[in-house]
Amino acid sequence: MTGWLLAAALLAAPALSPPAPWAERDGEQVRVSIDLRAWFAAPDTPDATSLRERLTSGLTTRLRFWLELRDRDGALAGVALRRVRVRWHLWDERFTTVIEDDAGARTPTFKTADELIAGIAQFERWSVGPVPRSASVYRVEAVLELNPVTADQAVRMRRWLASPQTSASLDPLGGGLLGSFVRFFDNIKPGPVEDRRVHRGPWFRADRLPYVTREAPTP
Amino acid sequence: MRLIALGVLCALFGQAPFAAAAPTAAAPLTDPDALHVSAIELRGVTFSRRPALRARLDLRAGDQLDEAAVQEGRVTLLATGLFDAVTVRLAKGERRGQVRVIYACVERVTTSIEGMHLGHARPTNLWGGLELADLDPFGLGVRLDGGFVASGTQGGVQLGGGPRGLFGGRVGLHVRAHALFGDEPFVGPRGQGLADGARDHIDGDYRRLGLQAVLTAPVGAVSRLRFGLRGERVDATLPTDAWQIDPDGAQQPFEFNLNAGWLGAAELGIEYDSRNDPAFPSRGIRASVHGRAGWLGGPFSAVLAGFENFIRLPFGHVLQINLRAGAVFGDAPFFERWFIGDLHPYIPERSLGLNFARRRGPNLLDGSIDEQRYETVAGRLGFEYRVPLKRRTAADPYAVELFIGAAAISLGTPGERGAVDALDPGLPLDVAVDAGLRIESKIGVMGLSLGNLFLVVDP
Repeated sequence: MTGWLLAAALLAAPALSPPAPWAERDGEQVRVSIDLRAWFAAPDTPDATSLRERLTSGLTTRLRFWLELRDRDGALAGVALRRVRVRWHLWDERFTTVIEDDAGARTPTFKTADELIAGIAQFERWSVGPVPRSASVYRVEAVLELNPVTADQAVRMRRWLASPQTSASLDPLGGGLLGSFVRFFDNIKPGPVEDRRVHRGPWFRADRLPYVTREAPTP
Repeated sequence: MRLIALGVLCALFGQAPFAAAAPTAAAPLTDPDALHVSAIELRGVTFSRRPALRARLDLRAGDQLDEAAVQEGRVTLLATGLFDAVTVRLAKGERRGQVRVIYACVERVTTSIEGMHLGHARPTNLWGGLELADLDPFGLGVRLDGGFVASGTQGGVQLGGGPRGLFGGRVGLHVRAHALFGDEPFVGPRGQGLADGARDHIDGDYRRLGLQAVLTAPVGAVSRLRFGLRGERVDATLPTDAWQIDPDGAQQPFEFNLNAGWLGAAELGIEYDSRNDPAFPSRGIRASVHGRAGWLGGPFSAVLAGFENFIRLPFGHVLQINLRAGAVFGDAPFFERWFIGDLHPYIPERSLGLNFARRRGPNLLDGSIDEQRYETVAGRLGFEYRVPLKRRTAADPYAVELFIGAAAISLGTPGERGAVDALDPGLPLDVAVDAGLRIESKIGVMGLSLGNLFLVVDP
């Protein structure tokens, strides 16, 4: 039944978002398969285009793919990570990469963006952790973080907020020490990463996951 | 088992375990061909802003490409507060081995409401005002700000501006003019009145027209020096038959502490701010020490210090410990002294330097704080406990926290209580408790607390 639900969700997913993740059970492990290439497709939306373009920025682009298993409260029940550093060599017109994940570290090169994306954005039966014992429902979240900044850099990007020129009163700190204050402004949006994408799968009962076979269950 | 440990570590520490496991993960990939920068382009940036912004980047045409410096340039541009987003990429230069560094920027609305003044308290029915600022309204690297506050009897306006970056963006200059038309509701320690009898307060009519220039320069990464000069013309029309009742019960002429004439003052201070976030800090220290000296009919000086320490606790809770202390010496006018509203959350603080309320301290400890108004020595030691209800994330800028705080407050003028001190050693000490919510959203930060209620409710 769970497999049917996942398949239905896969068919119903919008064309530009990745298909729903496939979760299955391999002994005591939850394994997840997902194809995230749609995030890098070059369709009409400017965001998706820019993500693809950033791979060819000529600078080292850092990507972190997280496959997470979360319960209804958002608590983490399992996780897997792939880290990728990729650089497009402007004059040689090739991609060099460093890929680090559970399979180890490797340094393949790619001639085209499509080859690169196929090499880094597909996950086949990735172990995200042991099958949760409880009868709660879970779902798979795939997260992509692009070019994470350091904590110091993130602080610097918001520091301008801390130094308004208006504190000219006797009080050197001012600003409502016990909390009565208000400032309205177009709040700066950059966060600890340059870009972040999240794709969530459907809810499922971990104890009812299908085993490693992918065939639909016979009625 | 390894994955369980991985998940637990991630839940506890976010992504830190991975960073710790591979310290070189952020290092750029080495390029066998040494690339050189042939040009630096700022796209999506108002033309007039480009020279000043380019000067802030640690990149020059002709330099060998330094990826770290290029990425740092993106952070530098975002740190100006002028942009919503900045992306950087390279493009081929004219010859092999040359690259153009292209920063694609999205400018943001830089106008902000820095403060709102709204209150209701006797003897003023209602007062209100607004402070606006813009980081760079004309694209010339000049910040402008202004504000006003008004009631039926008092009003004030201030206008300021100045270049955001002198000498390559390191030094800031801010010049501000202000005009205040005050009608201060003066009160004496234990009562006041005019020749025809006791009054609830004494109206003190005064005007202040002035100009102030402040120079700020960074010292290291988290400190800055501040030097300011101020000149003002002060005029006052005060009743000559006003009297006050002192703490010892004696009636004497009212002490307005206001001389008419020219005021000149200079100030020097250093500020330290290592907080990890300006709106919702969870660790770091913010401290400052300021000294001020001036003249208005006689010399006066002041020393002021403030300290806040944010300590991260388990479960994401934060403890803030704060201390403020100051002393004023000499013949300082009342507006240069500590005011009870500067310290106490239940007394409306001054708005652009104007006080609209005659409310006294609540005096929860039954001391003598309710007799204090404008005094020369002040101290406050408090704490605040913060519980995050919703955290800001990369995907969602909304954050909410619950806070509860308490502080011990002392305010007085040494020797003022005279002979009464021996008979009634009641200390000018009080405590205050405040609690409420702080919210950060796409349109700014705001607070709602018990102290806010006392701005509009006059018990």
